[in-house]
Amino acid sequence: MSDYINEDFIEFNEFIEELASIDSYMDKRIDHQVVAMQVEKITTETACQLSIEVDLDGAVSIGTIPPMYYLETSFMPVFHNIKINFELEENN
Amino acid sequence: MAVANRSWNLESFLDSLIVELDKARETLAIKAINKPLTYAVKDVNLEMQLFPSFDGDNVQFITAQPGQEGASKIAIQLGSITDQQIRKTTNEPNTAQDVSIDLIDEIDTDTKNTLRKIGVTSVNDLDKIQKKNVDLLKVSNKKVDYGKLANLLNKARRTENPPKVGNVNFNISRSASTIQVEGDNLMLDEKYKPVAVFNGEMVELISASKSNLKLQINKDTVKDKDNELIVISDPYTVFKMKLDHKN
Repeated sequence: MSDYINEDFIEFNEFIEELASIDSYMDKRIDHQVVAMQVEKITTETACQLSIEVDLDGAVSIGTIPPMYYLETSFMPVFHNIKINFELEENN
Repeated sequence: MAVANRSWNLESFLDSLIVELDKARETLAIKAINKPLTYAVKDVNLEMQLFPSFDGDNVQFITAQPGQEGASKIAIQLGSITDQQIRKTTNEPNTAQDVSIDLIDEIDTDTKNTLRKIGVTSVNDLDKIQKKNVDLLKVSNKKVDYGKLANLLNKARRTENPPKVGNVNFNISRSASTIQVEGDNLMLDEKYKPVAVFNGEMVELISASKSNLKLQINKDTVKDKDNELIVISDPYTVFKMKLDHKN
């Protein structure tokens, strides 16, 4: 695997970690009681830009980033699509 | 230095993608030490806009650039599987006794690719398909001749595991005299029975194993110095020893 990626992009593993970075519980106090909820499953689907680079040995590095600009231009970037399912894991 | 937007092959891309997913899984596992609840990646579906190209042997891909139209859409779906599933669905890694076909220079790239397509990556794989009486000439579209290939592979395997002689003991007695050769890789393939010549005479083999050879000799042929023992343990291996006999 190549280590180099374009600086406008983040490594693919960081991209996944960012998506999975969710606070475990959501809680709200209602009439002296606390109601807590946890998310069991997350399905996330987003357009993304990819930077796939190849070093001289043929090793590939993958950089990715969600769409960076929302302004429509005559030359639009190419958007790929990524869908990730996360599931809750309870750690003892 | 990596170069942007060069063609890549699917295998390298998947290798990289899997390494990235493993890295993410490891980070999430570290996070799990302090957090009671964490999220694991169940599956990933990546849809990419690509242009494939085919050079006659390999398919390569290049990502579509801004402004380029008519790209193919390729979706890669990766699910998480357990270690048991991995063991069931993949070949065991090559052992020290086995030789990967990639390492054998005598086999040309075309033959290597043909073998890989039919799932043969090592000498042991080839032995397995031979045991099942598969006609290699037919399945490889007359590209691979089994006999020739098996010879090359076995020779390579023998080169990787040469015979090593540790000790040689003479056991001279009136009833039966023997020579015992101790070492490693003295014989490698059960198919071949070793043949030995002692001082120009063919001698009888009493027992043979990877680490031990026992040969019956005629005690009258034993000299004090410069006894010559030649062992042919298979079609690819001959080893010769000069032995002194001490009473």
